[in-house]
Amino acid sequence: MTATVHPGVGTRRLSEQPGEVLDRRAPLSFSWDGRSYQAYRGDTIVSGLLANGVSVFSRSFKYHRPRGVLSASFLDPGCTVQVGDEPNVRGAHRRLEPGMAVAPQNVWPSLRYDAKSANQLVGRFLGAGFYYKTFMKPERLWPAYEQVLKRFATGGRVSPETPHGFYDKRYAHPDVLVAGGGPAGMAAALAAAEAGAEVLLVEEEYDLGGHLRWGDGAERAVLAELVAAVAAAPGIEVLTNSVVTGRYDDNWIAVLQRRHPDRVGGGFGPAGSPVIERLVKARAGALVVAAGLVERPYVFEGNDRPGVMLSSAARRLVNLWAVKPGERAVVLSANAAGDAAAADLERVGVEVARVVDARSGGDVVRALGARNGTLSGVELGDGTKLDCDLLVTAVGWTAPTSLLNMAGDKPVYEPRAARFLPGGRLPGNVYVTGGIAGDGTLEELMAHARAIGETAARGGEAGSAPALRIDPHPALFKGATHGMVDYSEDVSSKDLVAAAAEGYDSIELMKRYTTVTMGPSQGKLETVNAVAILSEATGRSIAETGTTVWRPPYAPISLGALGGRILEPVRHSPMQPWHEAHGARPLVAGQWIRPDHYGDPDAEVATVRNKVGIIDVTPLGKLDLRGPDVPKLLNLLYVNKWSKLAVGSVRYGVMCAEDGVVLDDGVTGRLAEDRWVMSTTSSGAATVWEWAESWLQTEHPDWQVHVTPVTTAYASINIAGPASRELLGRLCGDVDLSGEAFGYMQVRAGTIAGVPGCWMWRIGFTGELSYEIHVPASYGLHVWETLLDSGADLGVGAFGIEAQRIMRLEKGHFIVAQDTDGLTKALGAGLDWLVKADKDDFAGKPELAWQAGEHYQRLVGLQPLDGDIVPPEASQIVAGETRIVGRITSSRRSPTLGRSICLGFVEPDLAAAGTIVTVLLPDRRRIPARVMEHHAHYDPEGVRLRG
Amino acid sequence: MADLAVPVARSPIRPVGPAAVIDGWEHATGAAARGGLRLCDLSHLAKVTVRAPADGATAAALVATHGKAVRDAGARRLVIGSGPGEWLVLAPQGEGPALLADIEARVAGTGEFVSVVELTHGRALMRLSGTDAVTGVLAKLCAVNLSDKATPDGTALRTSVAAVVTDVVRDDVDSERSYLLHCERSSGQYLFDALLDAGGDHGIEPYGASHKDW
Amino acid sequence: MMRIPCPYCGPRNASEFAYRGESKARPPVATATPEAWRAYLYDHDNPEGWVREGWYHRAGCRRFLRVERHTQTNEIRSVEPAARP
Repeated sequence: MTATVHPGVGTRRLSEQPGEVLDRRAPLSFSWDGRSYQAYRGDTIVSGLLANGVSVFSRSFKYHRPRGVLSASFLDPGCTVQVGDEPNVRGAHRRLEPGMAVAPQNVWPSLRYDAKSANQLVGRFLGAGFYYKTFMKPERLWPAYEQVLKRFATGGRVSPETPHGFYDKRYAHPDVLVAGGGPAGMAAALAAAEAGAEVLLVEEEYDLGGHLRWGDGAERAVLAELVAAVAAAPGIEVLTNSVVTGRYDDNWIAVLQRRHPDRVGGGFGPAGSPVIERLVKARAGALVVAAGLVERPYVFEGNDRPGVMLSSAARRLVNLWAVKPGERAVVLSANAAGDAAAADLERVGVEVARVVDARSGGDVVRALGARNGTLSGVELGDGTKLDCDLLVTAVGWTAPTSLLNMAGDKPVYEPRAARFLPGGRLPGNVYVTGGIAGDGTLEELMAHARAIGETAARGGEAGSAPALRIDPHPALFKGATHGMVDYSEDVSSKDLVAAAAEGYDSIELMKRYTTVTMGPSQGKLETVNAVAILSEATGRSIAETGTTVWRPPYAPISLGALGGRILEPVRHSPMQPWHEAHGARPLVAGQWIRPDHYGDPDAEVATVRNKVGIIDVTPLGKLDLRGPDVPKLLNLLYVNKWSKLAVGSVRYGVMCAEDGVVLDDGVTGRLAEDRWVMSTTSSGAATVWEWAESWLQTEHPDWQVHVTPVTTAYASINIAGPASRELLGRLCGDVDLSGEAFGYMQVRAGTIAGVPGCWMWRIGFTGELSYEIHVPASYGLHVWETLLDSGADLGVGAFGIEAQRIMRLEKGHFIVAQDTDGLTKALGAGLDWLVKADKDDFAGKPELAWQAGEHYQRLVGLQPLDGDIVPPEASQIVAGETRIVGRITSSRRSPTLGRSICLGFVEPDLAAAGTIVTVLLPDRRRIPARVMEHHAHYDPEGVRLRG
Repeated sequence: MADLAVPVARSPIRPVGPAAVIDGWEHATGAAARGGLRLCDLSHLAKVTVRAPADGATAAALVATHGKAVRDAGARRLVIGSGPGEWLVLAPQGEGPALLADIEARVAGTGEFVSVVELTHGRALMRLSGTDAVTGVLAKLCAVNLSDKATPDGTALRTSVAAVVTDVVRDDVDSERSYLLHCERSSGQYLFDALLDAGGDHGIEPYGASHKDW
Repeated sequence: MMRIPCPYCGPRNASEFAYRGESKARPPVATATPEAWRAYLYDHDNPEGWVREGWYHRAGCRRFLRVERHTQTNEIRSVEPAARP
């Protein structure tokens, strides 16, 4: 076959290749750096550019050296580009789409004239530890340094106008998950499926096949058979362009499924938008790691020049994308892959000037450069200089052992093979096969994979499969000159040797000091070279030097994919449609969306104080308690006593945790002999339920109590104000609401607005005569609307949380977790009267007994002397210049009193009524405030409430 | 404002499309074709929870063990073993008080400590049905293995669905794959919307329940 | 993510459970000294090795469980109801 240029779609495009992935019937145009080019469907960004003679794709991170193709794969460090608004796209992996706008990143002002490449001239200042040494002192220049360092920052641009992408998430439960869709992975998947397993087969590239895809005819024949068998096998789900990014406890495996441009408009996501990325969270019975091997670069002077590439890159370009990688080539070969690359190049008409055989001592000393930095020739070990525009190296492999490391294995270095191998410390549900596990012919490797796949399917011992052999391979890491080790971080072997000389002579220290392996390629290409160079510098073996630890994620993963579907539950009351229709300002309270107010909270207060208002308090926690031992439970949970509560009565109670800190408060009522309902704060509902269950299940499993949460089984409405009795009476005919028959702190059951099974409590947080009614939730909206309709002549209005908070502050009621915090014990909150220390036991009892003798701040009512000043909540109360002696926990302007009112904590010696304390405002003003006799600022005797 | 003379019960899930009041409950009345992926609100069904010893006479009377759902009363009721010593019983709309009384009568003679609580108004209930894709939709929101092997027809389990604690019952109808999802009432609209969103790829359709759905 | 083999529900993701800390006996309230009580509240062994700890299956059966777990490997060797004998 001869190399011919295909007109119209690039100057370096070869004629059709037997294994190519191009659709020659589908030419497409795209732009690079503002210029338009033609390529085919199936091209990657980089293959499409190379076919057009473009060979420089980026500037290196520190020195801004021109960079071209190295591996022609996802890992390729020099091929990171910007696509439209998406930065950091792996250009050697991402397929071109029609009209794609691709641009280089990390270049200024342009790829060809890069101002920062002057850094090359001052390279000695940018050596190992450069940042640490240069930008530390003096500290006052740090802002200036930041401006300098920003210029070095790699990465692309993201527009603030970027629309939300559609990211997805799903769970999977394969019996066997195979990481790697090469011949071993496919063989393992087939064997596992034959054994009856559900298999998830994950391949990072767009197609299954691994190295067979760019192999010879015989290899492609095997590939075709395998692909057909996988497609026909029931029970194998294949994810291509997907990557296993992490393995966690119990084979919890993260798979990132990348965008499928082929499916644009194909029905994924809203309005046919493509799924950008999908995170598959798989719980796998067994994990088979068949990750293959990554070809390792060779370290020598000029090894990062465009034109120097790995043998696998040359073969992929020729065979997958029909791109001629150069005109005149030198091949440094230490293995069959190098020889095959040379043969491929000759076949397509590249002049192979020399195959330098490393197995017989041949070496490359340096790559020579043209003025533009690209390759112009090569100097060999024997001093020969050859002109060439392509230098291919094949010096060995790196085992991508990330998943093994994550599973707890410590891979070991095998000097004979010059690579790391599995260390044999894998858990029983993780298996390894293919090139990462050992060597052999294709048949031998696939036989091993089949045995492993079958074993994994039945959960057998990995050792039951015969081990693969280990072939010798020359150990070639660094040649006679210094060169680039970490292409993405611009770290050279010279830097590593210098760092070792400075004392950073352990691999973990060296990594952090030089940033080697810390760039986007994350060590997949360069780790072993770094280790080898360090071991040479320190005189230790590679095994002694060890490697850095590989942690998840294996591949970059976007925050969008991690976020996935947004699953944030929200909760609504049955009256939500009314609130929405009547302009309620939503208040987000945990998961609940509640009406904060309907426009004018002060007016809502006036309605309640003068007429009657209704508020939706559905989120109030409600627990249905049944059984003969309920009083025992109440006595244990609350600090006060519960044994003698009569049927039809309710009582206020406070709960403390075992450390004596106030946990929750509320009223509990006895509806019948063996039926009680406990109410909790809205935010404490789940906590109190769990708290009760924990006592019942762990300490008192013998007690007969059933707790059923009924918070949302009832719509809860508080009817408050002087006209509340009148209003409720119009809708409730079967309960005598008179003060004598239904007194304060009583509970009754009855029918409201035609709805049976309601109960009503005569309690109140606002300080007015009020009834808290609980109606079967499906009828909540009906009762709410009926109340408003029936009470129109009474001036009834809805009020929101803000009005309620104002009124409860006027009444001095504290709110748990607003006025109390994680340190507030019951006595500090002024609950001395409630705590019954003569009870045998209750949660937190010992701490409360001891608290009496301790020094603690007291909750008090406070009023600034200047009633127009409302100190913000959390303002400190101070003595002298800086001593903090208290804080404001709640503050509002009281529309009823026409002045500011507060609750707050003060030191015990400041708690006496009439004491004047100093409140420090955020604007540094200090204002005097008076400690009040009561917590309540309004109707402290509760005359209105009991009316 | 609606006519307030007669109480109307409403689901926590607002009807999509046309709606009508049927026997005191507001219902969506839209239709969806069998075979497609679809979702309907069943919150109007009567619901009663029972707590009793896990292995006593009450348990024997209720038949369903934890993790299983069993049809009862000529298939008019579904008894769900929703937890250890905990059952959820579903019955047609309006039968809550009768169901409560019936179960109370059944357990009265056991001498066991039993609680029977009606939760018709306290929970949301929906049915997700359709092709095999229905499992894929649920698998976007639920981490439990839903394969036929692990979760066959008649399985009941409680887990997190879209971050809401949910009773999931595999309850196939006329050999069509179907799931009942039961959660605390105030999260019902959220869960319904989350399922519609997850099923968007597959063209999920909301519709009003017919007698077939119960 | 770790999986906890719930004795009632089968193996479930740890995210369905609430961690309750190391299992410790509650000192007798009548006689507890401040030292003993605060050790109960705040002192944790935090061993590298096997630990007995409480988990609450919040999104499942809502049972309180006592779990024996190895803190280095997350291996779980026993799970039982947390009721004290």
